[in-house]
Amino acid sequence: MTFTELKYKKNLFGEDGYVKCKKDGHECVVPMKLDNADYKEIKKQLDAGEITITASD
Amino acid sequence: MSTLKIKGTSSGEVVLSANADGSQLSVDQKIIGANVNNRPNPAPLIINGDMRVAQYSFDTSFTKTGVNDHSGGAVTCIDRMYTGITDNGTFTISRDTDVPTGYGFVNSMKLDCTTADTSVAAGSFHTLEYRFEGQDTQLFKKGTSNSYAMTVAFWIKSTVTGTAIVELADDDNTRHIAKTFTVASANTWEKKVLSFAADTTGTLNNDNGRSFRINIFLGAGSNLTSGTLATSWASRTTANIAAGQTINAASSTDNNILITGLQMELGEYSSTTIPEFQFEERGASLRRCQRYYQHHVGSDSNCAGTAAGGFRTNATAQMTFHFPVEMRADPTVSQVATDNMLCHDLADGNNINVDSVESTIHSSTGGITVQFTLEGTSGNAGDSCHLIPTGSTPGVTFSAEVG
Repeated sequence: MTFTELKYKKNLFGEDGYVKCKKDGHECVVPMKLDNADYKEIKKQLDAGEITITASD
Repeated sequence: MSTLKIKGTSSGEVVLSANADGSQLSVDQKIIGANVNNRPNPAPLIINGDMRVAQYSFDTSFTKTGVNDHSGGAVTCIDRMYTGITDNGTFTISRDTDVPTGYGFVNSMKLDCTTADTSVAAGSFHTLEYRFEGQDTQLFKKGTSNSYAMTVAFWIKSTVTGTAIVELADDDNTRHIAKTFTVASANTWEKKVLSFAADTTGTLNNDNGRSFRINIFLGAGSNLTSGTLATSWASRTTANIAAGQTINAASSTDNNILITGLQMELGEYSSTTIPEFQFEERGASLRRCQRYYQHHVGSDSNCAGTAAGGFRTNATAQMTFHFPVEMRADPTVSQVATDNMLCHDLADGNNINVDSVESTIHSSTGGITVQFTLEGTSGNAGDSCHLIPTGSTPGVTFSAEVG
């Protein structure tokens, strides 16, 4: 899976709760939950230094 | 109390016991035979094993685009069926109507090789995978003295003949067992039945994570074939995963492989004793699939629902989606294509194109509120609205697939 244009998004409580990105070219919003398969993969690639995520507004 | 016994000619026993006081008969039915199976699971262990549900197929990019290089595995256009292809050709995967005749199947999964790989690199492989959540494997009793043997069956039709591997993988304890099967005749439906011993070592986690997989290998490089096939349960060793594999589905762009009737039973069965495939009515199968993937605001029969909400600003709208089935996890939300939905303003009747998913406001396994960016600035903040599908690939998808 290829993730591009990643940016944190805040939840209702003003905390980073989601990552907006393009997954294999498709725009999507991924919850920051480790049982979500996409976030698990994002975290893996982030920890490996393969991707970066822009800070939320 | 009197007892009446009825005995069959070859198998089966039904005992009717009449009470002296005339109260209701009690019936003790003991079925001893091959044709009826007293399964511990009320529904098929494999969801969508008959390949009928293909929610992803509305999105032509999913059906047509070749699948390759998915290190973590990727779901195919057939619900619940994953593929793991690492540098071993490219395939178009689709739902087909070519099925074994006379067994009740109407669909199969077709893999059509579009880019060949005639020399499989050492670390390359191609698998079809079925993934179980841990909480759905507790009835296997794995890791206990009561652990079940397991039997996997499926129909396959392949232009490529040779030997291939089915592996059962315990992801919680990094253990596995594997067996070979042979595709004997090209372009002919063949039923494969493989039984696997029980494993009294390694219990499976009782959670929503991936605990157990069935891997059908359609290609494997020497890193996976250089050892000795693990025909007994053992710690998972890469070299022992697919020893003996000769089939390479990517050997030619002429290759087509079709599979249907993926079935798993608890207990040890042969090709003559395995129970018939346990069909589910389509609605039940679709609902089970929707735990992992849902498509809303679509225009086909798979569409799970619609959405209503309001304009947040003149350029954004927030919509709430209620899931008809609890999803496995908080899902990833994705708009299939730009301008594939209209935001209908209930106050003035205007329809405004929906450009993109902007963010998620709140999500759970039961529902989600999503903020969309609209085309232009003609929305009326505060007005109620709902989404209408438009174009050839309308809608929003929610994915909670097993990673």
